[in-house]
Amino acid sequence: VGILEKCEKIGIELRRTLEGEKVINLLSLIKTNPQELTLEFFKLINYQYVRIHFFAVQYAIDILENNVENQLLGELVKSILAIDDIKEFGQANIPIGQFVEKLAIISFNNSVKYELPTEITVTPGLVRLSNSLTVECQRTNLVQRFAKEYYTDPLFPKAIKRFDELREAMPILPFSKEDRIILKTIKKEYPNTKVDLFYLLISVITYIKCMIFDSFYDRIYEVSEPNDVLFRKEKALGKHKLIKLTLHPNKKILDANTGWILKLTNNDGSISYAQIIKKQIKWTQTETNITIKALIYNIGF
Amino acid sequence: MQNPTCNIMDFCPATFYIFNLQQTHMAGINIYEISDFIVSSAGLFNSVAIPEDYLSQQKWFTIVTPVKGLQLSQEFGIGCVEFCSKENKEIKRVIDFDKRFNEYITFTLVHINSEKMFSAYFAAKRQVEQAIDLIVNILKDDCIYSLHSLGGSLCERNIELYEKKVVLSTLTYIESPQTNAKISCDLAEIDESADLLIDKQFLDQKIELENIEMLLIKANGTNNKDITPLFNSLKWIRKAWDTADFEDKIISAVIALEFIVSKEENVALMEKPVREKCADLIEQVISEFDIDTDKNEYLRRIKETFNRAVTETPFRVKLENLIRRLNIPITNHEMELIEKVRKQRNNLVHGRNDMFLPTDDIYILCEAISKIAFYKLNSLEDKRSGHTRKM
Repeated sequence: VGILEKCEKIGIELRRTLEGEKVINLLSLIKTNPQELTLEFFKLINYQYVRIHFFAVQYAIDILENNVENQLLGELVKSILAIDDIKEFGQANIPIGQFVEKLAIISFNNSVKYELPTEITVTPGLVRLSNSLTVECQRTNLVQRFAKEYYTDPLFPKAIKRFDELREAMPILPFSKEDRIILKTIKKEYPNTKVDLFYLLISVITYIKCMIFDSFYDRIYEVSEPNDVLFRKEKALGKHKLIKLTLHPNKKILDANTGWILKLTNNDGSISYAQIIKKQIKWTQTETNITIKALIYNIGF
Repeated sequence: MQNPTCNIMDFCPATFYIFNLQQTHMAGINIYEISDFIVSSAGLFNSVAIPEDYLSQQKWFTIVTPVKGLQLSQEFGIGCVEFCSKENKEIKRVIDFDKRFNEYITFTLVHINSEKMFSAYFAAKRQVEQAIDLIVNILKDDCIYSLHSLGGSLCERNIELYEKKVVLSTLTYIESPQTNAKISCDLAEIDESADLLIDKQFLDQKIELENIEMLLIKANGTNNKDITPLFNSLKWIRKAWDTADFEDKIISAVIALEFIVSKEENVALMEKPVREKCADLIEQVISEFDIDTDKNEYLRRIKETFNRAVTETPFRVKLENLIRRLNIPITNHEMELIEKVRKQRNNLVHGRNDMFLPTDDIYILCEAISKIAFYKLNSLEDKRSGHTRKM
């Protein structure tokens, strides 16, 4: 929990940096445009950010620019690209992306001497939180265990390469169904290699970046178990915990602006962070059912 | 080391200025780390022989230190320092490890990247002190507007707070999250040191102090320009002895020396006629050049600077003159220490980081400065009071 709590705070604190303020201002300007115009843009970002977090904004713009001539969507694409400030918005996300990318990797790497980030104009709060996140990540000892396997098991780097091949460049949610199939395949191909170890490291780094992104854009899906949850089911998934929540129909409907991080206030008042794997809304003639499947990581194992 | 209270005294024969190891809690810490920590805390930096194949690398350390005299309505941070309450999860872990932390309500938490545990502690302590300096200077501000009127918020102040002291506890907790090594200790506790004893020998010899006592009486309530600085120097030597902070030891030692040397005579480097001739030549040279600014003012400043340079005796020369004049038995090593401490003081003032003199050298230095002060006091007594010397 410590890691995720810090990431959430980092996302909030990032808004206070000069670069963060600029992004938030541009975002509110863009949001003044009609939703039917901006929806596709935000959907594209939402699809990509799991893999490339803040860079997803510029990437979405690149995709749109490559589709100006599209016979079906060309006109819509042109209208989206004509939105004032949209290109500036894409560029403004890049320094924050660079900071987050570096932070997520440095946090696990002990050999780097700490220096103030140069990508953005940091606040003192951000420095404290970055240090704090690094210490939390060090506690997991993940990189040390990773390095040991990397240099002692010759199949370990090969398994990682194979994992990248299977995953390709797709934005796949860690522990999603697609990802679990990939993991199963690699485990079969490399039965004596600690596949879970590198998978956990890669997933946690992805998780950190998603968490900061969602927190920055205020997209964390907050659920209170006493107020919003009708049913809660959970089962162990390896060393992690898979939870399924059926939510009260009055709960805010999930939309394109809701991210993939769940912040659940449990009945006992404690907070659990989970990565949403599946969001589902089912309408019947009489009721609406909102269900969420999410995974609570056991990062420290 | 499963048992947090570890019997490491067997490894440490030198104990007179080492913190109380019996009260130290530790877990998961290796012998090199703890040895280095112990001897470094006594001021003997980099003196532990570490095997060549021992992997020493940059690590993160978390340092928690309680603060007395500061109460938080909510947690906050200054610079890299977090100010936490007892309810903070990190602090709860520390209290679980060492119950002595339960006696405090406010804590500082700093994460430091360093190679060694003691240097991490040292850097953390400096950061915490700097953060407290900032807080105290803001809280004890009596201006109408915040930040000594640099800010824009209206403030209510309570000048009674001027009396309140915020003090950093000497109890500290250090943890390496990567190796899970932990130590908590009270760095102020001197191991088994007895009280300073006023014994019969001291009382028998005290008669030798009477002349200096007379000077003290003479200086009491007055500001005698010759005597008072020397008693002030004793105050600063005592501070250098007593403070746990290495920076403060350096600064205090140099202040003590400055008090001693302050009234030493200036011996001009250049005789007056030669000086005057040089000044004339300077004037002649300058008159040959066109200068944008007021030529007279420019010339006045140049002459003033020149005069100062050739008439004011440098600190070191004054000190050497004093030692020579009073025939003070100062060894070459002691003189080297004086030079070193002055250099370190300058580095400190100019913001350059430097490794400080180890404690045993500081103690030799304090003794040497004390000796100079007493010789000078004694010489004053000779000249002014007319008392018969008993020494």
